[in-house]
Amino acid sequence: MNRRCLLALALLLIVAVPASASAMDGTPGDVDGDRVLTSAEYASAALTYLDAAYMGGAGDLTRTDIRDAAWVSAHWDGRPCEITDSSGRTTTLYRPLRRVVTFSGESLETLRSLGFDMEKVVAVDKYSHGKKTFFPECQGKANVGSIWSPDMEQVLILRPDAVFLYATISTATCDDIQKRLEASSPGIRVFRFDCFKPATYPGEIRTIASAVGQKERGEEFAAFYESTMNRIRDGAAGIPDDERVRVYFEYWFDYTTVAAGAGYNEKTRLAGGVNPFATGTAEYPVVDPEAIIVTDPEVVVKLAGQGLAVGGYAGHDIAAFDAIRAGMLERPGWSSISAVKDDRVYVIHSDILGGAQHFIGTAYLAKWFYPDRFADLDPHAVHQRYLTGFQGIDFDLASEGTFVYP
Amino acid sequence: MEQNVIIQKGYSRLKKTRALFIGGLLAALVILIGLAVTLGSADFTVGESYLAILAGLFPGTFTAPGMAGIIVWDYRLHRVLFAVVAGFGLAVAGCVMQGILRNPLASPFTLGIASAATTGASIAIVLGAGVAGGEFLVIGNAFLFALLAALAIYGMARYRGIGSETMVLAGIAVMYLFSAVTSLLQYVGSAEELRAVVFWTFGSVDKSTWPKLAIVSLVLACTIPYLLYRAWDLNALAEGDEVAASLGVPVERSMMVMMMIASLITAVIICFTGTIGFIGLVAPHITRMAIGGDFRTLLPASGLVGALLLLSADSIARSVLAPQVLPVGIVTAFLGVPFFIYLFLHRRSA
Amino acid sequence: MALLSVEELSFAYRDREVLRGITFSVDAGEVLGLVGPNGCGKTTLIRCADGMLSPHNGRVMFKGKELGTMHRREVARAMAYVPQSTGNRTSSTVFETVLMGRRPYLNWTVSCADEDKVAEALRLLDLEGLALRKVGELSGGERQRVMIARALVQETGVVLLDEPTSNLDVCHQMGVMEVLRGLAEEKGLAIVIALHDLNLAATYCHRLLVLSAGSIYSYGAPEEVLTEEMLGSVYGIEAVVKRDLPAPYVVPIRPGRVREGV
Repeated sequence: MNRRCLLALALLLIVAVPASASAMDGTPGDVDGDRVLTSAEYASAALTYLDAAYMGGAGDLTRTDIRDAAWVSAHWDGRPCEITDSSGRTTTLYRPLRRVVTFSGESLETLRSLGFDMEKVVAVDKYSHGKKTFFPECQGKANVGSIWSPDMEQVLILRPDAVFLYATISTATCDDIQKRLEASSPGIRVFRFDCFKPATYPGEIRTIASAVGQKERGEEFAAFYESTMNRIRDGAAGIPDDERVRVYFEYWFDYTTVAAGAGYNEKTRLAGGVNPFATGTAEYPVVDPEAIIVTDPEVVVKLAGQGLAVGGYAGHDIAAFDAIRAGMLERPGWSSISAVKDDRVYVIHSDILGGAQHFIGTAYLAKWFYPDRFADLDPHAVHQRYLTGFQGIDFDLASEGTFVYP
Repeated sequence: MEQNVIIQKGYSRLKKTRALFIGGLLAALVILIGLAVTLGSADFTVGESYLAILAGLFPGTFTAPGMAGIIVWDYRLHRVLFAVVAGFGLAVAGCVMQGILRNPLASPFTLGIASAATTGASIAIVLGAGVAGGEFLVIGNAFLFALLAALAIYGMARYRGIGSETMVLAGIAVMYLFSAVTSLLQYVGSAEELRAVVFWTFGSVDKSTWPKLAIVSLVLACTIPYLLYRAWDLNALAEGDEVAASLGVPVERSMMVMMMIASLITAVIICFTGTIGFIGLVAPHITRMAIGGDFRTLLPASGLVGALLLLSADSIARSVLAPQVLPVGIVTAFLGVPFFIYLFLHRRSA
Repeated sequence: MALLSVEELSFAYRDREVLRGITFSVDAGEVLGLVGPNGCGKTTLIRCADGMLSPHNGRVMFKGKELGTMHRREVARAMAYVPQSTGNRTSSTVFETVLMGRRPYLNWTVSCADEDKVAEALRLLDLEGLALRKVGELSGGERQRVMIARALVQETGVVLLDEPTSNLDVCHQMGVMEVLRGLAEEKGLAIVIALHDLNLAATYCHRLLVLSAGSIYSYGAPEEVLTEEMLGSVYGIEAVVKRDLPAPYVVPIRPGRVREGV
């Protein structure tokens, strides 16, 4: 049968009652069990269903089954989808995801970037629940707590077919949640994705995109992400070592910098900067104030956000950022630092430097470190395109939120 | 002779009061268990919760509605029972320690056993090193180190002469040693690891499972009858080391055996739950104020009071910030406050 | 045969010798008073006699049997001990504290016979009204009598008391000593009491043992032992011993020279 007929049949079944998703082994309608739903099999299943539903015939496929079969045909080419998440585990999906619970805000954000229907997200973690400006549609959703304090009963009662957890952080805790979920609800799929690490993010985008049947959008978004990050990497690669900018990156707390495994240190290096304080094993070492003056950084970057809660998506507060910056400039001895003399002291918010939007923040860093090399890079435009084009939220950077200063 | 009868009547009244007290505690505990099982963020009615329990016990006759069966049996029931068993054990351990050290402020925590368990857990979390692998890494270490602390105290006391003062001093030394090591590990660890360690020290019943419940119950089933059997010796030890010796109690051996048993009970509980404080301190006190110091009734009654306290604390922890679940150790820590204020106000100068 | 006999007992705490070559015996029905200045070793001697401390030399025998060969429970049924300090138990009732003395005989439950014995001991020591009061609420003297009652219910042949009258008023002092002497004679107990009050000791004890710096200075009837020389050299005081009453009594006059080695 040709495609048009198939489409017509599929369209007949638009109106449907969402049913609880039970993952049956096998694509619905795959009668010969060869894991490929051919057009013939689909047509036959659809006809059997119609016969059973309207003509009094016998058949055991439900309306949901047929819808799922149509979806699998259209998005996965009739085949089950094998997903390998960031912890290395491979799961097989036979049906589209209908009820998703996310414990990590980064996965949630990525799903939204991929155009996943947010109605299908039935519960989010408490931090995303609290982000009224960034996740307005999540206010009405159920709150399942956090990784460290998960509300397991809530998760179970929502009967999700997929739960998103982190892959490489809080592993023990996430492993525990995964184990308990899989023990109580054998059909549930647990996906482990970080969605905030530069090394793994593009791969994760593409994997999740294929899981939710948004391959083209996924490719588009991945390309958008990679274009920015690759531009930064390439620009930074060519810089000879003695020309690399010395950066003092200050964390939320005074005189605390980033080092070793901290993500912010990695992004500083990606942008081509050199962090002379990144020695030792501690992630957030406390620095001796004298050492800063002695090292004489050429750029100073201060992180705002959680521990220093101003700006970000929550509020438009340029004055607060200015105050933070001014406070730093007044520190004793700082007037002699190159960064201060050249007016290269910046404040950036963790909303765009940590999490899934790190590429925007890294772009800002690159531009600050090497304004000439990255003259064509426009982080502001990237940010706005991300928000309007991919996230689909109504947020005008010109008037809302504060992310960088100056 | 009349006086004799009056006195004996008085004593039997005392015994009756005690029996009633224990009976009352048991009843209260059963009621509380019944209540606690219905608490949770999944909104079933009370009837549905009980139906789910029955359906699990008699699968043929009853069927549970929807997810109720899974939620009640996989998440609520063993948690409630674990709180009961853990509270019982911690209270009994505290009771025994207070008895043999003749110190009403003695508890498994003041003797450094909890600090040692924390160190074991920290080593597992920060250094990834331990005796058991996989999910038992933290549990195995915590248990091992708790016992190590008990052995250290035993060794030190053996060297200087086993008596209540030496044991308390040894306990304090052990506590400071292990606290220092834990602090060092916390400093060296990453933010994630630090968070995990701190979380462990809060103490919670979240991670309970049926197998863990079985292990703890088994240990209690083996040790508590023995403790009850030796109740008279505990009574005698409370009179003083010399008096106990002259009454025929093998003082040194008894103290060490009791110490070891109390440490074992504590270790097996806190390796699963993290450090839950104050139960071992408060429960025996309350019980002693109510029914006096005869260990034949003090032990089981303290256990029941401890079970009630911990289950109440856990129920509060689950409800007060719903849907968030507070670690139960935080709620029990707050328990300590009114207790110490009470002691402070009612202390007669010794 | 003597109920309690001690032969050549020597004891040292680590490197410090406390007792040296102590030998004495106590018969059934006899009250022996242990006297001597502070630090002379009275408490240590009593502890050794009860088997709490092991001497490095000499032996303690009950009815001819050496203490070291006896089982703990046997020793507990043979010798009772009343400590010097009154302890810190506050939440136990008087009845139960005295009941503890039955521990060498108890299995787990308390029989009527046990309760009777406790009541009897309470009566003997004038504690009946206090039977169900908490020990912590009693006065020091009352607590001391509770300790003695506990030793009585232990139904032993020998009772060792370490300064049982130090906290009592004169009326109760005499009362307790009367009871002890009466029990010794009626029930054939052997009683050893460490005492500070020499006059009390002289009145109620059949014999006295004077300890000085860990060895026996003199041993015998009060009339023989209580002399002015003894008081001068053991206690370092000048005193007069009056002998016009049934028992000798000591009247201290003034402190003399300080004794060496204290």
